[in-house]
Amino acid sequence: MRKSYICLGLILAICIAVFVLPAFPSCPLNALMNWGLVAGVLATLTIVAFYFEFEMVALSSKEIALVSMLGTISAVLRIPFTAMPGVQPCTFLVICSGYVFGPVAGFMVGAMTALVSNFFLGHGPWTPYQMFAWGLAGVTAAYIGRFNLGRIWLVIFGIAWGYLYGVIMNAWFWATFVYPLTLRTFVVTETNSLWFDTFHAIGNAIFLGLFGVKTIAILDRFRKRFNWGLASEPTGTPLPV
Amino acid sequence: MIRMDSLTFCYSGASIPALKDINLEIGDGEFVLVTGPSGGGKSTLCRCLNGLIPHFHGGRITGRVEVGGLDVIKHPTKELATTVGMVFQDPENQLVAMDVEREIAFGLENLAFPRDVIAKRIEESLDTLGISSLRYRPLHELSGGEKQKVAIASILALHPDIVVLDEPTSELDPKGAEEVLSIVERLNDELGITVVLIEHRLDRVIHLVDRVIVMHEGRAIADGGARDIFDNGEIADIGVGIPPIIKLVQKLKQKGVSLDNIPLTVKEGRVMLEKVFRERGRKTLPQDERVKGKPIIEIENLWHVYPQGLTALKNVSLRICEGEFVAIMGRNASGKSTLVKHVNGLLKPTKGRVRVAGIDTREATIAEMAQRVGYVFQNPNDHLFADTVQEEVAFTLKNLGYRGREIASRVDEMLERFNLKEYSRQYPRSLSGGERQRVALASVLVAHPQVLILDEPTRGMEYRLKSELMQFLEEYRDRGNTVILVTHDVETVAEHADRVILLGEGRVVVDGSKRDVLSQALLFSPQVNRLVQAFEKYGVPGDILTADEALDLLI
Amino acid sequence: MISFRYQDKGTAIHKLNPFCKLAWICGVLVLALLFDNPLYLLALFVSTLPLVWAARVGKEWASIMKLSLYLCLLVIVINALVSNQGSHVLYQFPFHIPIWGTPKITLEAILCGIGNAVRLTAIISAFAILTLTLHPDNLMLAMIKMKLPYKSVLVTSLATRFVPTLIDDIGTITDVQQSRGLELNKGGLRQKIRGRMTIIIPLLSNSLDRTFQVAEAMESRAFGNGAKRTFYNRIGMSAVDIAILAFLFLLLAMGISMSLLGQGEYSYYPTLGGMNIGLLEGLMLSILALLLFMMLPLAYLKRRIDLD
Repeated sequence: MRKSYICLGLILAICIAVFVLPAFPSCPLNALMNWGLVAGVLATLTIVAFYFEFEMVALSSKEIALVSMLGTISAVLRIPFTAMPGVQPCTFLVICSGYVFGPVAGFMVGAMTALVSNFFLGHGPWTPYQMFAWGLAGVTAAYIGRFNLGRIWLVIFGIAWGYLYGVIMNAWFWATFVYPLTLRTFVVTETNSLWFDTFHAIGNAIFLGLFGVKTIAILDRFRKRFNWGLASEPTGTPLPV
Repeated sequence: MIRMDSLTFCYSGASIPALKDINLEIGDGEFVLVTGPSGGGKSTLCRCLNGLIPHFHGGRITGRVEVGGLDVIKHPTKELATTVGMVFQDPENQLVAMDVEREIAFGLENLAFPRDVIAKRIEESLDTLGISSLRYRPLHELSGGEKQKVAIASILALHPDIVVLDEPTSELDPKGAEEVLSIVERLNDELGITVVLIEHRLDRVIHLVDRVIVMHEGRAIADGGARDIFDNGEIADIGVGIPPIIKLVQKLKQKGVSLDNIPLTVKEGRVMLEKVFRERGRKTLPQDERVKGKPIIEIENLWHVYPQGLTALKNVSLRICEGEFVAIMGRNASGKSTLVKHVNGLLKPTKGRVRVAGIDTREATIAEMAQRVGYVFQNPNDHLFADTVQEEVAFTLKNLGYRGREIASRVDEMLERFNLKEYSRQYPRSLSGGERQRVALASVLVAHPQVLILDEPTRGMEYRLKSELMQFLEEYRDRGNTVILVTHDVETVAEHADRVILLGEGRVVVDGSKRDVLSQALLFSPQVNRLVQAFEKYGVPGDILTADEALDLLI
Repeated sequence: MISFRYQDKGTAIHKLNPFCKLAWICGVLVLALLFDNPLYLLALFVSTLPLVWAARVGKEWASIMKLSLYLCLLVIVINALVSNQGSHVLYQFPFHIPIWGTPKITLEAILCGIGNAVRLTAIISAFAILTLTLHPDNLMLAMIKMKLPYKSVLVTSLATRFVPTLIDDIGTITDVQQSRGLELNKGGLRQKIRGRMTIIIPLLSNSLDRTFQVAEAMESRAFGNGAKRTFYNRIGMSAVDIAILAFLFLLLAMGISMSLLGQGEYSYYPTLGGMNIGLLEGLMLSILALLLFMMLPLAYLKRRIDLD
């Protein structure tokens, strides 16, 4: 079975685990489960699954160097650019990377963003969820890229991810630290960072609206120069001689 | 043993081949220097030796390359790793691990050596390069020279027969460069490794090598011993930077002075030219006194302490006038960059005062200072972000609050002056290195600053671009502006600057005219001055700095 | 200059086997999520403090913990606001929201929030210790030994390696653009973002150029050779390390069985539960506490053996 289906299954499982089930207190599963724990294990498994997927598709030093460099850039943008609360240039870069280089690279860049920057900012229980959230932003961006959707979609997508990132981070927070787990507590937890997420979304929209096309062009120019060979792209290296 | 038979290579997407019909043979244990102007095919040639071409960079290749009995076209780079080791230009980009030990282990691990062999090889290569004290140090704390040594160690650990170095010193300061080159010499001399070195600063290496290959437009236009190569004057015309002593001897020969050989070191030069100087060198040179304008930069008792607690400048007082061409020199971390960053307000004094054109930098923003002080950084790529050259240049004016027609006319003027008109709609990053440098300059000078600061502009720059840049700076200065050049490049300073300020440990050590500072100095003397110092007993003026001055004296 | 949170201080905790640290953090995390009893959680938090002291990272630890204050406050406020349960009503809002009912703040809800805040503090404290004492490279090494695929781990390690380089790059490019009159903090959000982009784009393009060279350098050193790669660095497993791991597993097993027995549970609603700890529970709790504190003396023992 393709590893990506496993990834997809895991993502689905997490969504059900942290979003859907606990919100229905009558479900008997709730009595048995510790949702905070479950969500953590599943997020970690997803990351591991993508690590394995990347191992399968990364062919050479080129892909490895590129994905790590994009991850570094994105991580670095998270560190000194915290001057504007909520506005995160790294989300923008993760989205552009996923758009150009496909879902697996997108996930890896997103995951690197959180993992690497936290060596500097401080790791915490949030690390796997940040990796998961940004990784997912990269994966989904790949589909925008695959259908060649334009600027308007990028902006909408950026706004959506501004909020979705918040939703994922809050869901973790909610499942772990809020009691009882009901729809009502969920809604309130989700709204606590509304202000922050709105800034994130606006930031994404401006970044993607003004510079999305340009950044994608830069990455795309590079991809062509590089004979990028990841994930079902035709590897068009002209043979020597 | 390296053999190339009618090798032609064309990068994919390029219309002109980067290498044309190369036939070469390099024997075991040879020390070969590859030089020539940029874009001549030096790097391409070297990348053919370990199979990066054609396996990594796609393209069309014809002919044959054989290295140590292996056909490069059939064997990818990773199989050639134990035969050919490659050291690259920027040490930063070839190190992949976090500390020195792991870095050296990386290649060995890839080749699946057992642990005990790796341990032995690490020990060996650390000792050979004399860097065992760095073993557990994180790489990002090392200096450029140290990093480059680690890169060489990591290659050496694979026990290659051939080491190829692609401009290994161009990102380093003179001390680092010297250390790296002496190591390279030892590799060849003591370990018998074949060395292929790309370098454009010939004065550093010319006496070490057995053979020189000059690449120009994809062809090897000259190939032979160093003395033979420089005997014909043609290679100077294609933009190879000839060391000043050799230049002097070449010119003397052209003027009919009979000299039977080309000197490769200062010592050889002294022996060879002693007679010439004894007979003719008694003239005095006309003193070139420049009229100074009124002071434009006034620095009074400047101290700077960085937030981490490092005191970078200690009580510096300076006065720089309009129309001066000042070079600021000194070791790494002697405070050069810190000092000039105060002039345009990037840094503010911890104590003391900096005034430029009467404005106290503490009371002005960097943007306000940008109207008066232009600052060009080493890497032009750091300047470039816009889609077209025109936008790039206009950006500075927009920042400074100019609007509409004013912008258009000033940008046009700049593009005209820097010969960039034809590229105005092009993407700046697709231009060549020299053109990018001009765009960076234009983007700073469009604000019409009275002071221009350049931080290490010539590091790693080939000869032709360097002289182009210097010519421009002199023009700019002649219009009454001030140029401040931060540099390690003694020869450039000797030729173009008026005044030299030498910093050490954050203090001004010497400040005076270039003749006073650069002549009779040990480390900071240009080649020709070191030559002339020996002839003072014959009445030769001791403050001659450049080949042209020496020539004026002798002819 | 921003630097790694990790600084090698050479203490027993820094020298501890990375597996032990990872197992420990898992242990703390699981226990923190299993137990609800605030006393248990407090004990868990307290158990991390000796490690902070032993690793001599007090100042750095405190700076990370400061960030968690905001989160703690959030936990308390959210729990207090959202819960309609609890019998001791402290304040009833004077309005009514349809479907929702009348919001009120109860003593139980606030205490529930405080309990969860303690849980959060314990977890963050443990992670802070991990960040401050585990070298990123050792984490990578542990990941490889745990059979995570090498290329993916290499990506992580490369990305970490280039962070200082790129931070320097950002510094230079910022200087460049400021020298050209860019004012980073002028104007509205849109203009600020435009300003940021004049730094991000050169950074991106320069770094992509670096990528080429990095890949070339890796190829030149036989990366992807096909042979099964060996690893020079390894994580030494001494008897003490195994002992620590065994203790940690024991700890985990204890914790889970206690949780299954219903110990460590606590209910805030409708009224605060009592804190009666029975004989068995008390016994198990003391064993648990003992296990939690075992790490430190064992770490010292390991250091002593290493030094000899």
